[in-house]
Amino acid sequence: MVKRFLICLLLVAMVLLLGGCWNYKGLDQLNIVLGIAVDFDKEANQFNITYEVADQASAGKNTMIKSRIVKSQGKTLLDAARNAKRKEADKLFFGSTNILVLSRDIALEMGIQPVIDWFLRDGECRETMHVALSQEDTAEAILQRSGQMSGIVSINLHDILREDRSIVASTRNVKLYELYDILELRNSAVLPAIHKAEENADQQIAELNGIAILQGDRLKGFLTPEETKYLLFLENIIKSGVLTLSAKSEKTDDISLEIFDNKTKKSFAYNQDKIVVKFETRTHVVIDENHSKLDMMDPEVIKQIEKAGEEMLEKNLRDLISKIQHEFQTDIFGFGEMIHKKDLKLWKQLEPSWKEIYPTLEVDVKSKLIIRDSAFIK
Amino acid sequence: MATEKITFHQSAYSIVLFCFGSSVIIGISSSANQDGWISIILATICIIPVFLMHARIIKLFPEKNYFEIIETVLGKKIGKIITALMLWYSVHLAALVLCNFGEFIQVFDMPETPKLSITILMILTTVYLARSGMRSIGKWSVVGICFLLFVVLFTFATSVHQMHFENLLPVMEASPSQILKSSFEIFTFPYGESVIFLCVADSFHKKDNPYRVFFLALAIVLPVFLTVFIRNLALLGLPMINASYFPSYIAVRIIEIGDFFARIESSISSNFILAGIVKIAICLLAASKGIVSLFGLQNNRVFIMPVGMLALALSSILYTSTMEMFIFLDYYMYYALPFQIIIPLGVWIVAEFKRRKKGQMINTPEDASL
Repeated sequence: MVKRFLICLLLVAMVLLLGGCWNYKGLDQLNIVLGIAVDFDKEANQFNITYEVADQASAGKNTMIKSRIVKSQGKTLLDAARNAKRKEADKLFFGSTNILVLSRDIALEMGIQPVIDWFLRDGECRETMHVALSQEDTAEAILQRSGQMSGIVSINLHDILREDRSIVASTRNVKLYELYDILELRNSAVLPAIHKAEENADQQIAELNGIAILQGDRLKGFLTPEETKYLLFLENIIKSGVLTLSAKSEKTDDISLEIFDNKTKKSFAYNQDKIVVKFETRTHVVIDENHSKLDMMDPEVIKQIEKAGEEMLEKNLRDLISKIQHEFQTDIFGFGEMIHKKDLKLWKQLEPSWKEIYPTLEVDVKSKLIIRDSAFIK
Repeated sequence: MATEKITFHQSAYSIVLFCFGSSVIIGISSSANQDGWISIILATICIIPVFLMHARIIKLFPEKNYFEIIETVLGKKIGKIITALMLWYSVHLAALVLCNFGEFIQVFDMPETPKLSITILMILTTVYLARSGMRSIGKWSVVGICFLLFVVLFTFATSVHQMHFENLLPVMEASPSQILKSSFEIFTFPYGESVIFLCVADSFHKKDNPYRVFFLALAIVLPVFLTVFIRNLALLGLPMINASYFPSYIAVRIIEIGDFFARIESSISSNFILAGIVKIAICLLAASKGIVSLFGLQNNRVFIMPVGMLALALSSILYTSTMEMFIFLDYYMYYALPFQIIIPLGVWIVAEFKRRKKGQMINTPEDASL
């Protein structure tokens, strides 16, 4: 009986001991990092890192959670992260980081590979955080708030980036693990570009501004939001967005088409030592704006609009591809990868001289626009 | 000595969990890159004759364990040597799985917790399970397999929208020798390790057809391996897979549905614990039976705890780092081959030979026990 009692006592005692984790930390002991901006100071030869952390002191029942900025320096990224503890009561916690902003200088001179290595390697950071490139002088500027702006910059940016594809189609969001894959597979990548736009005289606000194109892990150039829209078409990931055009090919656009669905087929043909890459887009749109009072019930008019739209789309897609092919000479659409996946034998022949072949590829674009309806009114 | 018997399904499921043990988490390793699925299928085909051989041995000596069979077939002297070898292998395997487990928890869940404190908890649990006998392991397997299959299906279903199936292309990029090498790896780890089941074969019921047990197990293992492989590859992409130690865990980390449904990677950890416990427990049980038979003793249960402590001690000196653990995997196939193939093959051939020669002498005691 005594033995039983003792065993029960021991079990209860063990429950108390086993209930907690070895290194338990309460939420109030964590500095939750929401966004990170990475700069490299060439003179001091060290990283300047800016963290936006959730300010839990301000959190109450009715108030919105606020954020504050923490800065630290270090020879490496981890060094900098640990150095932050010299002035902060709580250790930085990276498990909820939404966005990683890299400075233009890092992408130009150092390459982004060294930076993303730590974020992938470290156990706390998530592979799903979004990566972006700052078009300002520093990456820090993007996370710094100016004027009266409220809310948490990192979370705002994260939401903007994530939803962009299904509303405006002005950038291409990239998650950390996707970036790593694409860099390895295509030796090139795209990153969303962010700049600061003037809102009022004393107020600047972070805004998406197209994408940055990387060759290897170095910055090669930028595309405008408009060009990026066509890039999304080619990558077959566009969900929504607006196409504007003039039905009678005049200077001012008088028609808005809202994209509801798009399918892009990418293929290639190889004959007589010539490779032709083919894109076929098929887009369902809705007429959402009609400035010049065109008669929507007239099938001829609809046909005309469709035709004008198709021509406009084809031209823009072709221009974009040729710009990427000749100006940037980077294979961001993964033509090489496509050939590799579909025709291994051919790829083995092409691979050694792919760099020279790539700009000479012929590209054929065909677009099909289908007007679904004209929204609420005739 | 009367041993606890487990049912047909329990035995098959415990083989399944045994195969999943550490492989589901390490990810079915593949040096054949995106052609890994070919290697998996190839390895499965190659393991069929081995399983047939195991089943045949069990059939020849129903309700006897491997060590008893070895002694009857090879005689006392050679039998003892082989028994000692198999004993070593089962202890080593238990230590290896324990070590995988410790490394995994340390790398992913609790980097600041000493590895030993995790492995101690794990070994105490498995010792308890093994001491509870084969029936408990069998019942545990039934529970475990339900959960495990659920997790695999669930993670697959919730991540389909994020998958890129073109990651599986191009087919047959790896050279045939690479594919063969990779399937050899899968052949020895995890398939071949099920040789340990011979050591606890006395728990299989005589009326259950051992062939069917092994085939049912294989029929469950193969689709799950393929699902896991395709899920990881389609989600992560080849570069990420090759870069990560535990692809399954990383793959599940990136599953996101909308804003709220994410971070379900702990399901993968629990998978590993469920299956890992079965694997270690069976190894310990096998080792304890080995000791009993090596020294001519009676009760194997009292040796489970010492064997467990031995495995614990061994696991803490096996590797100094996670890198070493993965480097060892490259050599494991050569190390494991004698235990997995050569010894059972020898036992089987001699057994068949002896049976032909004096079939009646072996058959008589069998009939008497009925």
